[in-house]
Amino acid sequence: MANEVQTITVKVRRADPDVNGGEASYQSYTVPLEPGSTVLSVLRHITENIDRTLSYYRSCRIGKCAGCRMVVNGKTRLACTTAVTGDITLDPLPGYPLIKDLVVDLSAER
Amino acid sequence: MSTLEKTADEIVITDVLIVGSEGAGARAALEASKRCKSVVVATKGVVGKSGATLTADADIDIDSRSAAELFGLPGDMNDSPEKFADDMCKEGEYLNNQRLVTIHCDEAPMRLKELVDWGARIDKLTHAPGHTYPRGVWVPGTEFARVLTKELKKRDNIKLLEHMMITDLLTDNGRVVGAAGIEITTGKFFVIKAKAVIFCTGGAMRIYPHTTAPDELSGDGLAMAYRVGAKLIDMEFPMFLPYTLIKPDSLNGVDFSYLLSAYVQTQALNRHGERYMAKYDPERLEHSTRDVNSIAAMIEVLDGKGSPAGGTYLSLKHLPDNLIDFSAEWFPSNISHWRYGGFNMKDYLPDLHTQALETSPASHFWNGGVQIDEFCQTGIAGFYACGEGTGSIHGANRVSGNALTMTQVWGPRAGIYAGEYANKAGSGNIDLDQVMSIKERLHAPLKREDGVDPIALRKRIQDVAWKYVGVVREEKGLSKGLEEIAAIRAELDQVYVSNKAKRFNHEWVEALQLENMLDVMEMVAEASLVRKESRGALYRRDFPKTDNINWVKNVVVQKDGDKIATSVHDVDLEKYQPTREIRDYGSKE
Ligand SMILES: Cc1cc2nc3c(=O)[nH]c(=O)nc-3n(C[C@H](O)[C@H](O)[C@H](O)COP(=O)(O)OP(=O)(O)OC[C@H]3O[C@@H](n4cnc5c(N)ncnc54)[C@H](O)[C@@H]3O)c2cc1C
Ligand code: FES
Repeated sequence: MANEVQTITVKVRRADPDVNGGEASYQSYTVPLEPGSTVLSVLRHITENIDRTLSYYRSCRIGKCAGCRMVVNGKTRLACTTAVTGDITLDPLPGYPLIKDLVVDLSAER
Repeated sequence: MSTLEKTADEIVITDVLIVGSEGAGARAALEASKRCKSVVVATKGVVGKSGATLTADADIDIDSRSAAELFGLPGDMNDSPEKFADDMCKEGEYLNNQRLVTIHCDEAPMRLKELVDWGARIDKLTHAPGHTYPRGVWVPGTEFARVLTKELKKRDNIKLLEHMMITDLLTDNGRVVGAAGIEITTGKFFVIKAKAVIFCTGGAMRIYPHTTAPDELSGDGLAMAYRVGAKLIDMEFPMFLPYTLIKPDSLNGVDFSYLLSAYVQTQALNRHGERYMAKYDPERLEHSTRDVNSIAAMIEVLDGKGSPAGGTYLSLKHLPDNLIDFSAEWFPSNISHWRYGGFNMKDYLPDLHTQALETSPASHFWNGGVQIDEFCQTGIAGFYACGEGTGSIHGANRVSGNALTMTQVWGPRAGIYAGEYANKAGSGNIDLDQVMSIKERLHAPLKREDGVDPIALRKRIQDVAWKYVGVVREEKGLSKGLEEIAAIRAELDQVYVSNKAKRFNHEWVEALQLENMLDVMEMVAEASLVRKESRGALYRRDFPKTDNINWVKNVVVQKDGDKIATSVHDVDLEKYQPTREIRDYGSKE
């Protein structure tokens, strides 16, 4: 088909300390790849259109607050400024207490 | 029997509660902590990782002579705080409270000096439009965040509550005695009992679909203040920045392209390829003021001459390729080598040698807000406010760099006076019925099993704000906007949150923001309807002249039952006066 949208698979590590003793598992989402997609825009697409239960933190969305740091395909990145061109796997920032899914307690940083 | 202990998941008791932790909030906390025993800072996000302050690019204004004397910058010795104040009143089109402006300009140097003594690195001195002398001391927003977070940490009597969305002020016989909110990370319902509360919650830029500001700035503070009966002033003047990106979607509101337009000769084009600025400002074209550029773009869009995404085109194609390529090298550091913030813009933009950008005005700053006096009092006992989201300082528009000055001058003042008040005041009573009804209201969307989607409703609100209460306003549209607001309001009690998890439930946060966004939009619409002229950041297409004979006046809004009461007040023009004439909008005096 001519105008078929290209999609990617986004694998996200999910965990809620209130559920199943906080046991983590990966969940996969199929997301359309748009021109200029970033990790943050992909996450926004998921929470707005696919799964409202997925949690992540963001504020400035221009790479200044460093609040959206997470692990993208094994490397620590800012979600808002990292371009997405293919499948991705997202993990929370290691070394910080986990709040839920991709949200960690950054107050440890102060 | 219900008790407060059973109703609240957590109760926090403090002398001063500060809502908002950034430029204004952090400074307020530092001063308050010297004057009372305990200070709590509650922020919707993370300290130093939320709010507009850290996104600033960023010049902070002090008079040029002080810049030279205090920091050895190449300032102009002919400048003075009085001349700075004069420029503020000119740019504010004489709606500023001149007593507050005088304090603002007098105290700015000392407050910036403190910040520098704490370790903020300053760079150059810039000369932005609207200033007679160079006054913009360059301190990136991230420096404010870094230094202020460090200082907050040093004070033992300041407690930080992060991810704490304050939703309501608590009152006792007309006095503010604390606040309630939800801790987003746990979903817990908090009651914070305080002798004084300071709002440092920033603007409401997120009521619009296009904004340069962070996501969390949905006007919560403005709406909460309104709901407890505070007066809000100059609400008809939200400010817009032209030429921000609308494509790709992921970079909606990023002002890289605006900065481009400041440094190279860009051409703003409508869908017919016309360089439309020739109609609006034939001399300055794209170098006209931010307001005129924004208004022109919006009129083109409204008249059906926009781009597919609802903006206009910004083109560099008329420039030689090698000139475009070289620009990357000499651009100032914040946009050099096609980097902006954390973006490599080349990943996101089309080839500028051949393609134009699609750009749009975006909501950038909130000129009006809670009316304060020189002690940051709001007229309600125990309730103080400072920083963006307060009115009276900037009037109808602000000069570049002066928003940060506002945080650094008025944050400390709020902290001083609220701290002193709290130190003497007794504690008020928390009204259990009030707390119970707040709790019920906050949890209702979680309990509903069906109803209206909060995200769809938020988008509708933003759509209405843009169409009818946006960059260009007129009576017909504003009235239509108010009808739409009423229709959306009728749906608020059906909003339901499908995600039932309490922990970090952003859908719930979205639901809780809706009423705030609506309240703010309604205040903007009502205040705009009252002002039958165009001035500063307000352009009324049906009243396109600036009327200095009849309209050097403030519009004040206040809650009156279910309605918004508006009133018009003369400005005390004790020092700086406009020429009493009716002139074309945007033309210089
Ligand atoms: C992209 C951009 C560039 C800018 N550049 C400049 C510049 O160069 N020079 C200049 O002078 N100005 C600039 N400004 C404006 C300036 O940055 C802001 O006006 C100023 O920093 C506002 O500071 P503030 O402390 O009042 O509010 P903010 O920094 O916006 O902080 C608001 C705080 O309130 C909190 N909050 C909000 N709602 C709630 C709630 N319900 N419960 C709890 N907490 C809440 C937030 O979490 C945050 O901590 C810029 C603005 C933007 C968006
Ligand atoms: S959201 Fe601020 S750095 Fe990404």
